[in-house]
Amino acid sequence: MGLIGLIGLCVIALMLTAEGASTASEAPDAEMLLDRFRLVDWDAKAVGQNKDLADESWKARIEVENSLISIGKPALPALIEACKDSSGHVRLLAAYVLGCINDRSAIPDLMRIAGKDPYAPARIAAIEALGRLGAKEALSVVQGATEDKNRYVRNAASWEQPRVMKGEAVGQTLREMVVSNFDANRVDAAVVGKSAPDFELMDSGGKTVRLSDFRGKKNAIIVFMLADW
Amino acid sequence: MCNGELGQLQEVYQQFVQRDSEILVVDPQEMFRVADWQRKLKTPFRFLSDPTAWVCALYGVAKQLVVHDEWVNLPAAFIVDKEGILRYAHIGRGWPPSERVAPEELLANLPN
Repeated sequence: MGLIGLIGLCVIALMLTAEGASTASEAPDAEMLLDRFRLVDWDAKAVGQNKDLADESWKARIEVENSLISIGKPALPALIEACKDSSGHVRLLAAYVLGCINDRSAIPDLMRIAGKDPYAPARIAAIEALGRLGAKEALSVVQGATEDKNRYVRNAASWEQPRVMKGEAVGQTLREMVVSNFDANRVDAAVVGKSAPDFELMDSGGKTVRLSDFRGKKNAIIVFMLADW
Repeated sequence: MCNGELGQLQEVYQQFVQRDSEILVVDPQEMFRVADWQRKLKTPFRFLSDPTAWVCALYGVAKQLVVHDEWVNLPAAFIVDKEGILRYAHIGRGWPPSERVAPEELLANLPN
């Protein structure tokens, strides 16, 4: 391994064991995060019904994707490599994260996934990412995807085609949303009988809505949508 | 929750208004899709855009089902009272309509 390598290992070991090594765990690197994601058997979790509500492995996806988005551009090399992963689940994750980090270097790999990936969910994620990046050069790939054999891929492509044509990137807004709002300690934090976790989102009219706005005025019924079709 | 269920809610919407209750629909899509969806449905409810699903994750429903080849939310509804306390939660286990809460059940569980 060599002396440099050994010293490096010792430094990492010290970081991981020392008190202040919340630094190391607060900023895990992209490869560690991807490995954490790979530990879950996503094929077994990919159900449309009869989901075991006690199964918490979904949290691994949420924590990994949001951590990667928060890391941002330093995660790019690992994410671009992950676009070639043998697992479609990893390729999907990488495509989604890349769409939230506003960097054009991801575009060639996203185009390949959008047009050719055998795993339809990955094609969908890549098409959305290309829309979010405003990737004009991907227009023919996205147009081609409007004739994909899979109807859900066709649907994603028809949503994204105008954005790809327009060439305006929105990805950075999504990263800002994650960095401002996501808290790994506040996942699955709703408990009946306790204060409902507060949040702020924009409504379709462009107005900001905060749950606590309704305090003293109205009951709030929060309905979570499954899909917009 | 999708089209049919929101239609049902719409019919009983006035009853929710009379009970001092506001319906907030959290849609894990970007604004341009959310706005388009609300326009199509012509619903009176507020549609909120949560494209990074952080609120869906906060409420424990994010990305747990694969439907239409995408990771989507568990269908769910929560009732928060005027003191900000969470009083009721219904979390479905999948896409079938039987997993979603009926508007009548929501009305029955509203705090007085």
